[in-house]
Amino acid sequence: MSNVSYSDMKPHQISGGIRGLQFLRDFFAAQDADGIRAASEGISREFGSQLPDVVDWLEVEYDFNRLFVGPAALPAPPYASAYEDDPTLMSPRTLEVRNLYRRMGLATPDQGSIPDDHISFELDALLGLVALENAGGPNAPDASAMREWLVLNHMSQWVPRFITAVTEEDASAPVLLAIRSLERWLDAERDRLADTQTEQSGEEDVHDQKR
Amino acid sequence: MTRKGNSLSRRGFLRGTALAGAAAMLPCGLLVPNSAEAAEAFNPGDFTTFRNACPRNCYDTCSIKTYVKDGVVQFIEGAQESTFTKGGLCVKGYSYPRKLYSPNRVKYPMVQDGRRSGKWRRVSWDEAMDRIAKKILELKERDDNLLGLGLTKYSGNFGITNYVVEGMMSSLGYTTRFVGTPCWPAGIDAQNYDMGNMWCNDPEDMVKAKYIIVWGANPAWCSVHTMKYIMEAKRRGAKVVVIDPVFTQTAAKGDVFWQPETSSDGALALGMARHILDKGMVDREFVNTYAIGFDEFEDYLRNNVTVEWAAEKSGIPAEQIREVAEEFASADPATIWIGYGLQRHVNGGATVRSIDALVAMTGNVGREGGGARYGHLQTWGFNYHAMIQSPPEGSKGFVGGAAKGEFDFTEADEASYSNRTVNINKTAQEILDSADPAISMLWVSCKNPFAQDFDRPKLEKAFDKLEMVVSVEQFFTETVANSDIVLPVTTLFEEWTVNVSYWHYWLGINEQAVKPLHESKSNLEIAALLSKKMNELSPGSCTFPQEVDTREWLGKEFNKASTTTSASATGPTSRTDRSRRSWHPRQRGMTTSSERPRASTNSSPSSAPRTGTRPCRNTRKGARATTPSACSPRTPSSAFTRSSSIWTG
Ligand code: SF4
Repeated sequence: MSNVSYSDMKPHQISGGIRGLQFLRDFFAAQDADGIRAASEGISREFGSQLPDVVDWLEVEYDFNRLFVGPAALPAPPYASAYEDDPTLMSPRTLEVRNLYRRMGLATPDQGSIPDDHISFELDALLGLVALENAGGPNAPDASAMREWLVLNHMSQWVPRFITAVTEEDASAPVLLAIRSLERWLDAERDRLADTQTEQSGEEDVHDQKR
Repeated sequence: MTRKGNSLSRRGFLRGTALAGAAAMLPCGLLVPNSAEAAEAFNPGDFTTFRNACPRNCYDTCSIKTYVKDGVVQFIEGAQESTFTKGGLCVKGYSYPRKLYSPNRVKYPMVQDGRRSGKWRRVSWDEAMDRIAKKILELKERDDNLLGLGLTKYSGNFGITNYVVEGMMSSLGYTTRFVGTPCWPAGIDAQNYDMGNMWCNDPEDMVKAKYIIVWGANPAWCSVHTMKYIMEAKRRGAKVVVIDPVFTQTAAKGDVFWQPETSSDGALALGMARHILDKGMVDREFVNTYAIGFDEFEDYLRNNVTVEWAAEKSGIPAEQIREVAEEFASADPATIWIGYGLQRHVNGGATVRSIDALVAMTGNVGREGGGARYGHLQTWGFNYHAMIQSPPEGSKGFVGGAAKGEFDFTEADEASYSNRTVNINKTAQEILDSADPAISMLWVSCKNPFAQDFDRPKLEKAFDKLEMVVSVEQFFTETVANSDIVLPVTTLFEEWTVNVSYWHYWLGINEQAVKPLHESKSNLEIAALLSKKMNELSPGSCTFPQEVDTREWLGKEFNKASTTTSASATGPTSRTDRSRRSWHPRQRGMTTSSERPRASTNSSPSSAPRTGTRPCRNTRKGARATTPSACSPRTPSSAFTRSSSIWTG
């Protein structure tokens, strides 16, 4: 589907590599044990962390649903807006990433059903931005700025809390592996951006559009 | 954080479409290219408003105005156009957007591997329906009928199109239904016996009352919108008496508070009646013209009741009983609001009848600002199109008459088979006792039996006897925990329907304001999906349409033409016609409400005339008495025709 392929990218820019990010996205978007397993094995490979030798993937699916899907109240909802003081989905937090996707010419499928700030959508958008940035060309500077915004102004606001929420639960090994990998990736990304930021001015937040 | 020299300014970030052209090339696996139109930055000034209605089992049935921006509900308010809602909601109402957007909603169809195990798996709608349909077909094959399939549903969503759940069951065949009311049956029967119908005054006319007794109701909490009429009446000089075993917020706002012994309310009412009789304060003109059996009632009071006896039973001093009785009898008009709590006792029916008598003997029945107010179903005259579905040809069922719930307005059909009805107040026992065939599968909708039904420990045992339990829910309840399959259902903002009240006379349209969140579907859509799957697996096994336009189906609840050709042509439509014949619009009192209904919306579907809500329709088939309603007691030709036992409750 693209003429910007993953192989063109510079994996060293991202902890766990582009593929690691892709597997993280797929992990949180998984719908069953098979999907969780495929993504977990990918994460294990790309982030260089071991999965236990024996895993009952059906049990992992139950655990995954308990934490992220339902039907009971979620200890760790995978949506940015769930980590605000008033945890309601489709909040201004959600709409700010919706606007980011718009800027990229993208939208969630069937927009309005699954909240736009589900972590898998955000990781997916990030993949797109990394691809554009790495491809160079006229879009690269904008893509780079949007990536910075997404990571520093948006994801940094909630993903650490999401990670804490999961680690406070007695989560299964593959879930913890994914969460630790997500943490590593976010830390590395923030460190990298902090370095580049020192060269920047303190202009106003490009995406300050709270209602 | 903008880089110096970067082309991306704040403005540009918000408005620009610099990357739009690149979308097709991106390696994104989940996000999809936006349509050109949607890719335009959304104008944050744009609100669209929608009409919604509170579907709760609440007196007030509020009309809601919903403000939507970029497909997201931003806030809601009470509709100003409804004089009853008058721009305000209660806290539960205002918090509806949080319910819609709660991270904890049931989001997807899910299957539990073992009840109460918490081991849930996500399945597609198709797979969920496949499991359900196969089980239904298995039962049918095994039992040669579908009575092994049970439905328990009550008042969890009063949107009229939600009667499709019953309709869906009917379209599968004859099933087992949990019927009856856990809520207000004794009072319904009492009022029907006494006045031929249960028909309350418009609560808005309470401002005209000179004396108000709020008897076993707490509107300050449970009908906040009615409270303003009580307070206005008070401001205009009315005295407010609150009778409740609990010191409520309403009691705190009254002039007099009585805290009687529980279940002594009937004695209290009779004691007051006796005193009114002794003081010669009976409205003789009323009882002579419109009541039957008053002489016997008088004898009953003289021979069996004293104020001292009432005082002893209730714990309210005789002196106070006399004082309030005299004040009530001399106020013109005076009214009593009869709450639902006091009829939930073995003497509940007699209690309500005693209070009815007190209101009638003082000439306050059928008067504006007066009345023995309990509730009504006069505005519920819909077509019940969604509910009325016929079973597949050749369906077998229960032989013998079936009981019905109080919100079931359909006429019994002539078929020799019917549904099997079991007592909604004995859910656990009925499941355990059911046989030939036993209830093996249960569909739960608009209800949470584990929180609402009796005998919680036995319920678990009963559910464990079931082979399959399907719960249709918005949230994870204990009933869901005891289910095999949960289906996510829409909230009021995500579906089309219409709501009416059992108290006031307004009608509230409920528009779909936003797309259903996650994978939730309305009960109408669920019925269509199930029908599709049933017919796929066994053609002809379900008569329900396989495609529905929910807005259109809402219209069918109003559109008279739609039922004249249906199997139910002798049902609700003709009842409405009868009601028109028996409607006496200018009897004493009630004229204000007779000139309604008023639609509380300016956006109802074009196919929705107001014929479904004519407020006075006193010949509802199935009503126990043939006497006229409280609306028209002063018509000479319709004097009370009840036996003298009317007064001897
Ligand atoms: S008062 Fe009753 S009808 Fe109105 S919003 Fe509250 S619960 Fe709903």
